[in-house]
Amino acid sequence: MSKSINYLLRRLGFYAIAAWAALTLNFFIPRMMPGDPAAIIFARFRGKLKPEAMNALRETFGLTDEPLLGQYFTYLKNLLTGNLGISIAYFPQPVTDIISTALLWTIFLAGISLIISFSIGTLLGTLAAWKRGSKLDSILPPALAFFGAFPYFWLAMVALFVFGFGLGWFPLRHAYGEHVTPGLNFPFIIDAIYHAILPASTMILVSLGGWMLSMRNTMITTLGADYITFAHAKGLPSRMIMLKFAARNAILPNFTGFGMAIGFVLSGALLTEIIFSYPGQGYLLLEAVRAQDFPLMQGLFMTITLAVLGANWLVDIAILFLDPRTRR
Amino acid sequence: MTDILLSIRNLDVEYITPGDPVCAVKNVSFDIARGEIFGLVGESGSGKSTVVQAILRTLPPPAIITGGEILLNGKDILSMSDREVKKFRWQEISIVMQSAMNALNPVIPIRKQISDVLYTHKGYSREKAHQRIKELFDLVDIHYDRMDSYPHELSGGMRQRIVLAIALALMPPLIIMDEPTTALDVIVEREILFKVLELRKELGFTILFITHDLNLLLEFTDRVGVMLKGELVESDEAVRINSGGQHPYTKKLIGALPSATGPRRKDLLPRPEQFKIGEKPLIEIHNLNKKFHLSGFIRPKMLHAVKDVSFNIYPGEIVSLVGESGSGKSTIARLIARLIPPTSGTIILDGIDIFKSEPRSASLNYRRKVQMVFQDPFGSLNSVHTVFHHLARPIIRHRLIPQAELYKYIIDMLETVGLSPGSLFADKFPHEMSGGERQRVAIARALSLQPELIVADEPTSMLDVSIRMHILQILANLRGEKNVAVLFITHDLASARYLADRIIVLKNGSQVEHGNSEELIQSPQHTYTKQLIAAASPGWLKKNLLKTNENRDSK
Repeated sequence: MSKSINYLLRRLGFYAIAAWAALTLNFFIPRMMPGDPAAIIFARFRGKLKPEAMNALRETFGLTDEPLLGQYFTYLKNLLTGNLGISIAYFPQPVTDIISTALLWTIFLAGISLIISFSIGTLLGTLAAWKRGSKLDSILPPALAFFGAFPYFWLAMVALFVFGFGLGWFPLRHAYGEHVTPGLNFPFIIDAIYHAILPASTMILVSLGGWMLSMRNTMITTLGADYITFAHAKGLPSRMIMLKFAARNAILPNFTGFGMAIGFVLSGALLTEIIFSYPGQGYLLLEAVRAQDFPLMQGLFMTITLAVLGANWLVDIAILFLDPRTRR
Repeated sequence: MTDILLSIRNLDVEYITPGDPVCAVKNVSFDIARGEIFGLVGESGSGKSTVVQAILRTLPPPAIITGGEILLNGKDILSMSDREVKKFRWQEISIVMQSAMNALNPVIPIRKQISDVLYTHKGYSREKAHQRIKELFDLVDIHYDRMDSYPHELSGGMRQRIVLAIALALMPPLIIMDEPTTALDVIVEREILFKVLELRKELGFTILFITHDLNLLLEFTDRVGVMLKGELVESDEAVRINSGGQHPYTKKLIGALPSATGPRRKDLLPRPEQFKIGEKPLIEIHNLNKKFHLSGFIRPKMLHAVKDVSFNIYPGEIVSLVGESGSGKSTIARLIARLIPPTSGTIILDGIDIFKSEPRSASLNYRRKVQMVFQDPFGSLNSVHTVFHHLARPIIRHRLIPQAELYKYIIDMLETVGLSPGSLFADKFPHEMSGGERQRVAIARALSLQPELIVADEPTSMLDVSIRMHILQILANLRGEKNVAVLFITHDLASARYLADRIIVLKNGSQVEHGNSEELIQSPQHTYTKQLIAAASPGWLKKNLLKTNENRDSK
């Protein structure tokens, strides 16, 4: 077990170095740009920007009169204390506040869709491989591949048009209605789930096929392994062989894929959030780019980097539990 | 035979294919008496494993049992319902499978892989199962501290003993052993077999032993059945098979392999004295070292795979590297073929120190002079290209033969290695050929560049017994006809003795002994060589069993 902890600490160290490198790049890139980025942005707004915003910009980039190294340490200190500066588009809100709200919505919408899609897809893949050639196995994979092959934005817009606009079953935009107060109260939670159903279903529908097919294919290979034949010869119950022997081993590559998907999710399901006007990370990124809101963009890039690294570390831990062969 | 445990009557198994069904097993009948060891021998595709799967009723589709009956203790296995079969498996018959690494579920501790049988079939409580597992570990001489280990944490021999423990868990009257030692090194193989025989003496179960190695079977079985293309061509007492057998195929199998000890066989290849072996070494290897980086960045963990190996090969000579898996023999092959760079050491080819003159990559010239034949003829040929393509590409790359003469040259090459008519084989794809034919193509490919040294890494280990001799013969002929030197890498002392002029024995990356083949076999100096030779000698098992009996009696 101590070996495992050792391994995890080493991985953590590796991710810490990666995070540090990304943050350092984030610091130096604005300084490598010709001229003063703050001034460029200020000029672009032709006086529409308040002088306070200009100062906020300067401060975000750390463009003070301090020497470079000093600026760097101030920047790191600001990061550690969660001070990412002031947003331009949402002036004078701090970037940290804006991102943390958006992050919660993204985790709620995309995170839950991912977990549902992964679980159902893996289960379907397991059943399809176990009963190879059955109705389930011959109908579902092509059907899901069919949905997966649509351009996502088109599918989402059709869903929005039919179920939201045409039938009026679901709301057209936003994460919750105007008649509820955000907070941990029952009507708000119900309303948030109600708003999430349509975007989440489109995301699940599109990604389900991938999880199912990869699980099915890995499991068919696994079913040919000697230990499966051996388990049959041992006279073990079929369900035990399917789950504990075949699916248990076949899920490992799928799980690595899951870890990578977490990273993508946290960077925001961009298209979904734009089409459904959902206030998550992706929508925010679009807004930030539109408004040339550099502090917000910088903050988003940083969150995404850290989220991807963090998610990978969590997967490292999970794989350690799932696959004993990695415990060395 | 009065007390018959297993009786197979007129068993037929067919594979349903889109075309005509293919017969995998044809009209096979045999009986196994209680307490005996019955051996079933045959090459890959002879249907021996299909028989095993039919007995356990684990035949995968599209295989179907089309006729016959299998009686165990008088009960017909084939007429049982699926539920009955599940119960009867492991209670009545258990199996030890070929490769232990693959027979154990890699993500579950071995303890649970024994207890699942106890829970499923006997409904044991936790404590009772624990107690039983301890007993089983004792039986196979593994300390029960190891119970919570995962399969990858154990050596191959240990894993196979665990599988044996699982097979014994419910004390079934019949244990099937399907090539249980094929993936193991010789010395470990003998240890496992020895353990099996000891346990049988103690516990009295019946064994059906499946293998492709007839010589091994004759060592310890009571009766032997020989299978060929789905049919049981001969079935007799082991003693009588040993003295020749009736069927021509049995005779062929008995004569198929050279022996490691005893007098040399008459049909042996001509000896080096009859060849002109050059006086100046073709290749000199000095203090070759290779370390592999395993893990760790700041404090790296290294595997010292090859330690200070030095030897020469003279033009037209056959030298054999013998060692078990992990002895570094394949690494040496790769170093000489320059597929990987050494950590230190020098290789001098034709008087040129190759790492000094061309330190980064091997020159075309070196690649042409030193060619390699790989172990796995199924993996070494790209399945989307024809044989012609495989042979033509290196020749074109080296601009050896003008385009106009290329086809004729390749046909000649194919015929040199016994693929005749060459024009027929040139258009074939790898999957249209047998393993032996593919290996010949691999040799032809190496040969087509007119090399001075062929490095053959276990070229026969994945082939059937009856084909192995042909491949060895081809390698032997090459040096006679073309004066090519061969570095023959093998784990099998007998084929090394058969083919090579000199033998180098490797252990854990070091050279432990080096000498002329015959001298080395007749009077080995190093303990390890002695062990290897002893394990490969006939009668080893019986001798050792007697010995332990004497020890027991004297206690």
